Amino acid sequence: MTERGRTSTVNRFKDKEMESLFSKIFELGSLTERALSDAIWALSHQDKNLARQVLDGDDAVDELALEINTVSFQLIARYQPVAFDLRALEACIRMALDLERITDLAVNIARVTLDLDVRIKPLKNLEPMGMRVIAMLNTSMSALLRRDVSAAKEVFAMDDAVDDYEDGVFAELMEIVMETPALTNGSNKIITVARVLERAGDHVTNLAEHICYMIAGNRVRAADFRRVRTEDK
Amino acid sequence: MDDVKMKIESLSLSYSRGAPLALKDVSMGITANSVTAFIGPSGCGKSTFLRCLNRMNDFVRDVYIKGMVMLDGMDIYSPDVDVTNLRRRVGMVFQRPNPFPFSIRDNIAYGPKLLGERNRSKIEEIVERSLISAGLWEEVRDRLGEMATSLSGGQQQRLCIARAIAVEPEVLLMDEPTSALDPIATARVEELVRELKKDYTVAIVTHNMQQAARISDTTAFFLMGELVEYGPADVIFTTPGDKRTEDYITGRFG
Ligand SMILES: Nc1ncnc2c1ncn2[C@@H]1O[C@H](COP(=O)(O)OP(=O)(O)O)[C@@H](O)[C@H]1O
Ligand SMILES: [Mg+2]
Repeated sequence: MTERGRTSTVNRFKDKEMESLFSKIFELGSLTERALSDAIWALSHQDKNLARQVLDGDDAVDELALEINTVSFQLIARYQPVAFDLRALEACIRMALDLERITDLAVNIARVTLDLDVRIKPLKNLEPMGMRVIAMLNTSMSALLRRDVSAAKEVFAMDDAVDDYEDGVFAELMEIVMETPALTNGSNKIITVARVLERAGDHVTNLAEHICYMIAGNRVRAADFRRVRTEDK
Repeated sequence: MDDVKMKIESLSLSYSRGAPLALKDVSMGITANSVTAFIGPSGCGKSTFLRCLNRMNDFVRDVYIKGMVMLDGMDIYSPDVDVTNLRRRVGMVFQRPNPFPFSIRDNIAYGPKLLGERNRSKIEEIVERSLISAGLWEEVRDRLGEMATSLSGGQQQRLCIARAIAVEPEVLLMDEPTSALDPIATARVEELVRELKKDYTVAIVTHNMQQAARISDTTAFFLMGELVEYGPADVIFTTPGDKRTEDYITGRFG
């Protein structure tokens, strides 16, 4: 009985600290979402001020991601966690990394906005592509909050749409370049934005994979939930 | 397939008529040349189970045991089993080091002598080999005539392990062998346990979950006399299958 009493006290400390670690992940998630949506808005509205803010926000994100890492390792050292606790800490370390990378990608987009010296008409596919990635990010964060594996798995299929939008962006830019060869340079920059968003989608997919493992204990592969591409067959 | 050294089938035990079962229908295999750890809250039946593996519970009056325990396919509870020989084959190390009040040498020589070994140089050889295996030789080679009780707690426990292996058992049972030791002595015994599995099959009870995680190949979780789950330690400590195991090992119990 005393043994039980003791473990549950230690356990209460541990739970509290895990809780506060998770709240840091959510904070990082919302900073990331903010960076991404600002970067996309700045690009489509040619808002260089907002683009600069995205650049400025990067340090805070790096710091928070580092803090999550440090705290996770401290918890491992102090509590020698097992089972769910261990998986949760692994997930936190990896999620912090992915979220930080997504913010880096948002910074890349902001840089394109700052570099762009020509006006290119708004693309039909670019903003929706960004919105899609943001929706995936939000879905994975709420899956984490609710410890909901099936919600996390929804993220995998959402990534298919991101690929479709990317194809759409390429097609639109192709047309622009054919019409106005002088816009080739600017178009190429926008192509990098589409690539960057596609990679951001991959990082969100990773997030969802970490969340699934944390909750259910088995590794899922996003590819198993994605549509089979005709050219892959 | 791994070799199954001991096989337990539907083992139930009650300490007296009408008492609740201390073991409820436990079945599992103990793999040869590996470390199997039994974990679970106090009073869940770990020691009871361990003691069934070499019939130590026979000493208890009124004990009622049902089911089968096999050693290399032989039913150890069958009436024609020589219990002394069984306990030679399945040795035991206890929670508190319990050296005999003899010299270090005589502690080790005791078992082989009891088994009829009279050849002095053979006995010296056994003493040296056992102490080497128990990782104690370097520390005591120049003081074999000294009283075993003059050793530190950790050394005494390794002496007891040396004593247990002097009779060349096949299986070593250990009941919380480090619970009376400090962290350094504990680390040495843990290291020793991992060495020993090369030559022996080890089954160990521990209340220290991290210890089970560090040293066991297979971990078995007991709760109120029931074997809830057992499997590779890597699996039990990362992705246990049963909610009760999860709750226990993460400290969310009760
Ligand atoms: N010699 C005994 N006589 C009667 N009851 C016992 C005896 N040994 C253990 N018990 C009871 O059997 C149950 C299991 O005990 P034990 O095997 O020592 O648990 P553990 O080793 O997991 O702490 C407990 O309820 C304990 O009180
Ligand atoms: Mg016990």
